[in-house]
Amino acid sequence: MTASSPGLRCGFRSLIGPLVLRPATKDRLRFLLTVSGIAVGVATIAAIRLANASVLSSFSDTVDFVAGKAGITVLADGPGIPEAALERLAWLRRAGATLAPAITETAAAGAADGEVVEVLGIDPLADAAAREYSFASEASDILSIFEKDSVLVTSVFAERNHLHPGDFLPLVAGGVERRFRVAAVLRPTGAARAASGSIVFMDLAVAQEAFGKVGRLDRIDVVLPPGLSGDDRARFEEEIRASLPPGTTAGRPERRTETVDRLVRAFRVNLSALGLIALLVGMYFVYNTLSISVLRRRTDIGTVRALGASKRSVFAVFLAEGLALGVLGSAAGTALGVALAKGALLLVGGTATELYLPSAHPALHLDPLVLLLAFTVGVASSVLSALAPALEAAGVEPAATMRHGSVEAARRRRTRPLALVGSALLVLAFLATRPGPLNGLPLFGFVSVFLIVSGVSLLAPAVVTFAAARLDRPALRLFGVEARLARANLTGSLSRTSVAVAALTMALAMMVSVAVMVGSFRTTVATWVGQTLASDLFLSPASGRSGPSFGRIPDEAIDLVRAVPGVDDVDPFLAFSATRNGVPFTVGSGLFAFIAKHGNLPLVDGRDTRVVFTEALGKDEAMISEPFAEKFRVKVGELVELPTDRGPVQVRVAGIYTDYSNDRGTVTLDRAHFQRLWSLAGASSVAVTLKDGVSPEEGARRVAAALRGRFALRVRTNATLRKIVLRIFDRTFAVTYALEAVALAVAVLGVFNTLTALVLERRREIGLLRVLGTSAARVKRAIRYEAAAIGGLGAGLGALAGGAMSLVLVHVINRQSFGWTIAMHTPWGFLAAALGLVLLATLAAASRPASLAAATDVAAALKEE
Amino acid sequence: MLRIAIAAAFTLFTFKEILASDSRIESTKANGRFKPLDPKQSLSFPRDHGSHDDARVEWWYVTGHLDTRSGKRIGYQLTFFRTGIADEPRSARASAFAARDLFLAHFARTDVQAGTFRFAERIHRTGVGAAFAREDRLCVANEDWRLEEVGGQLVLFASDGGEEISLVLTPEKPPVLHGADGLSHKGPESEAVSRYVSLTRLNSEGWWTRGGKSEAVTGLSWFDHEWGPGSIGKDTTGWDWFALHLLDGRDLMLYRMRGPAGSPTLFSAGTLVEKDGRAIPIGASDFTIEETARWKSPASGASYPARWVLRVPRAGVAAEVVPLVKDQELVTGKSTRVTYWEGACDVTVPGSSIPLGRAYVEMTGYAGTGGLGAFR
Repeated sequence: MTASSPGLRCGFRSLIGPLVLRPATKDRLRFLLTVSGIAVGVATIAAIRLANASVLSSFSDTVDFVAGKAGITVLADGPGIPEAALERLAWLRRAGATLAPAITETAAAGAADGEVVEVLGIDPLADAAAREYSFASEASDILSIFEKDSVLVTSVFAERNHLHPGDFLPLVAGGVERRFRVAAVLRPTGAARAASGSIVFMDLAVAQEAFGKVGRLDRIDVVLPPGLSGDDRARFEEEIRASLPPGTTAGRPERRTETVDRLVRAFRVNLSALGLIALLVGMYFVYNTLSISVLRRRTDIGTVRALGASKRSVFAVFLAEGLALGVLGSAAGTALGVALAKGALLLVGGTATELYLPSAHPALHLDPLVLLLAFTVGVASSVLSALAPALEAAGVEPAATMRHGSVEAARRRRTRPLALVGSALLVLAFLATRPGPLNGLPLFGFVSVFLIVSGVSLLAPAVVTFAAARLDRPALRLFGVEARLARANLTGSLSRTSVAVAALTMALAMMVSVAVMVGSFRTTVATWVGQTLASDLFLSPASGRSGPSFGRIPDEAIDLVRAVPGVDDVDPFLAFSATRNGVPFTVGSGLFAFIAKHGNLPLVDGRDTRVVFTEALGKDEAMISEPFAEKFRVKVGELVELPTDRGPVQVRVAGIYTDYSNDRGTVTLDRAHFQRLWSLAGASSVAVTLKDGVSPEEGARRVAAALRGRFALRVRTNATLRKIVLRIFDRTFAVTYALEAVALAVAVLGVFNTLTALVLERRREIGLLRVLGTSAARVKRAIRYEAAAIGGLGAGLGALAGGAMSLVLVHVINRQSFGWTIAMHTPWGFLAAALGLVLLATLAAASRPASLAAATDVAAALKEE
Repeated sequence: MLRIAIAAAFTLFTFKEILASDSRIESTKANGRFKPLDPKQSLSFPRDHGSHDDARVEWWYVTGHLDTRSGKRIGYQLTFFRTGIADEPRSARASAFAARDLFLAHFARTDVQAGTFRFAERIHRTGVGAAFAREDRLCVANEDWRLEEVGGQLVLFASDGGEEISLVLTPEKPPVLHGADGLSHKGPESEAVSRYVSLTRLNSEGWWTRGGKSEAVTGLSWFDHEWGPGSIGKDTTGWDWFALHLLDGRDLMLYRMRGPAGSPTLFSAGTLVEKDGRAIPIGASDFTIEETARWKSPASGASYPARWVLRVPRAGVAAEVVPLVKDQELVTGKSTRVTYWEGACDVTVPGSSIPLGRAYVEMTGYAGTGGLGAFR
């Protein structure tokens, strides 16, 4: 039929009104729920992508600004490049290249609350070719930039800290405060744009002396002669590598960004997976909404079909509804995502910047591409979910529309095949937990989680049918005839009830699994912290406003602390960053004798820490952290290669210790062994044990008093540090809790939505029941029982699926992304409370539909018959 | 000699600052690194061809004329400057990069037949693998440019843009000390003095490589070495310097210091070196320099004298000095603030083309200044 028929316009456009708009305005709540389901998913994905992109772009900007015109950057793969590398690279100058050596450091402009800045020590003469500088205020005596207390600051930094040429600027690094004089202010161009202007420049020699790096360089930027072909560049790179001393690497400057990208990737992927689950819930809502809408409007559809509307128009109308819901939800989600991105930025940014760029203030960069992507994903998934209901609607034959039961009969026939497919998916889900990570990412783990969710959802109709059959008699005995009514409704409207159960299952499974995973993780970390944080005091370099500390405490400060009355023992931890096949890890050192004495570092295989560390000390062997063993597939007894100034050194692994403090992986050597391989002094942090009878507070006071005026160190007691560790942990996972809460709320509202729809649809039946003498209260109760059944089944299935998913999260996803072994700790209390709350919430959600049913106008309902 | 002021100017002050105050020199501390020259100290070679750490400014200058077998003529200039910038003992700083000195170098070539002039410049600070000047003997280097004394001969190498010069220089005369005992006064101030030593006649042999082709070259070179506090006197605005290899075997060095109005000052001087190596001092009143042409640089806009007639009646010298190429100006924008003219010239009988010898001429103070390194 066509739209041209007078009075009977049954084309696509004319169908929108009666089939979509009118119901949508009538059912505002359901409409809102559906839209918000999509919105939450889209928002999560957008927020995480935005935060990630912002962090990376701020980092890569800094990398670019610092690298300047360098075509190749030589970096230390270890504690620093020996100066002599410049002599070995002298041939480059003859080939027309320029060498710009530099020192990179991080410092705080004030011990207690100073702004954190990057420090770049440069050779102003050689740097002309590599980096661009421009004076905002000319130095009165340009040669003064070579003097040993001179710094150049950016105008951004100068304004923020009210600095003028000639002013003094304190810089704290490695627990030592030095006073510098501002020689000149630089305009925000070129290198002065790095770290968003939080960067100071000084002479190379000044930086070497101020930060204990005499004899070493942190980077050499090589500006290649102009007009090189790609092959020439590659040849240069190769020859540079060939002439470099051991412990150095050469490559394109962008390489650094890639390292950071890799670092934040695991975090990003995991959060994105949570976002995907949220989106999945959203998709369910679209499906749910449209299915119900199709069912409720079967009569209308039949009518318009009888009036001549084509199958295609009906299909298009429902698909358009999916599209409209998708567009609205995605638009709201994108907006919400931008709002959430700020929070996510702190999370994603924290990890990356703590390690690589503590001075960064990554600004939120609203990448339109990211927003478009999230929007598209939302719309596409919404349209995808609308496909099945739309097809169903299109399949409605004009003649069959009057009988609703015929559809349900078809649905019921499909229960068994669906259950079979669901079971098969669960088997696949189990198989997907077997393979290792793909490209360092636990992709199969995510597939497994997805399969569990899908499998359980497909099983939902079978479970509902099965439970209804089994519980029929006991329920009748316990709750009377209303229970039988509820049961009949449950199976009678299987297509709707099972969707409600599945949605609830999915949301609950997500909540349960994440709760179990985070709970297990937290308990494991808390236990580990309790075991390993055995010392009384912990010292780290003062680092201004920065949470994590940076720099190395000088040996004199350690000696000073050792001599404080009441101090029993001191364990200096000294570490630097290296790479293995381009993947960063930490080389650390401590006093093995100290660990052997205190036995405070548990080993993965349960051996006695004291014995293993004592043996490792005697044989110059290494201990590796669990993430290192996982990441690089190293076992006890195998050799690890470490980059030293004298070339690679092989060290045997004596044992693997648990370490939840970082996921980069650490190779730990005894301090003496370490210092034989690298001429490094000082400590990144110091653990202090006190003599009996000295309280931590008293000890901290004495240590602080001994250091006062000479070294700027943070002194923390055991209790404080423990609190800080757990606070950081909770902050990291705060976003997951928030996501769960939202998903759960949406799911509970979904139950409400389903029940309301059911009641409205069954008005006729309810009216009939009432006429036959059933009281309003009984009708009400029947609806409540039905809600309880949906809630109970959803909760039960959700708990089961969630339990399975938590196993995958803990043993597959977490392990493959971070290399941590987490002991399962089910937070029973929390789970019981949460499930109970969900049940209560579903019951509460049932109260309005129940009242609606009770208030059914009997006469009106029967008139429809 | 006068060219010391170039080195002083390379301390990256503006030229005017140098000439106006010399404040950095007066601030020399009692326990600092820089010391005034001690007139009583006698020089000893080859040690004193090497670097003098207590002198603020020092330079080694080689200029020369070379001939290929095929008859091409090339003029070259290779200069190494050292400017002390930290007035503190070496032990005051731990870093090998501590900027005690700036090392600058200029390398210029004049292709007489082609009429072209090319130059390159380099600047480095104290550091590793870039530039140095040894104190025990003559051995200065800036990247791969190098000047070194080996067994009484000087070995020289320099390269730029595919062009290389590699020479062995053999002195024909002993070192010449200019002024009284090599103390050369540049102005009335006590610190406007420097040690000035030359090897005026160096038999030169080696290779000149361009475009991948090497040619054997022979010729004569002139080596100057000067060190001191770096002052050239408050009222000095520039100078003109001449080094002549005469065909009769004599060598003549003359410099004219220019005062505020461009007129010669009392501190203009020179040295005549006889064929047997005897050095005869020449006073300001013993010679005249007459400019007979001007040339305006398109690069810097500066106007330079472009032809001279030198007269030293006491020595019986009357010579016309003619630049082989007009544009032999070094605009050293990358490394320094000084623009100067230094070029190969022919020497003839005045008013005729009868050859008397060959010369190198340097003129400073005719053009402005530039910037430093990365900071513009």
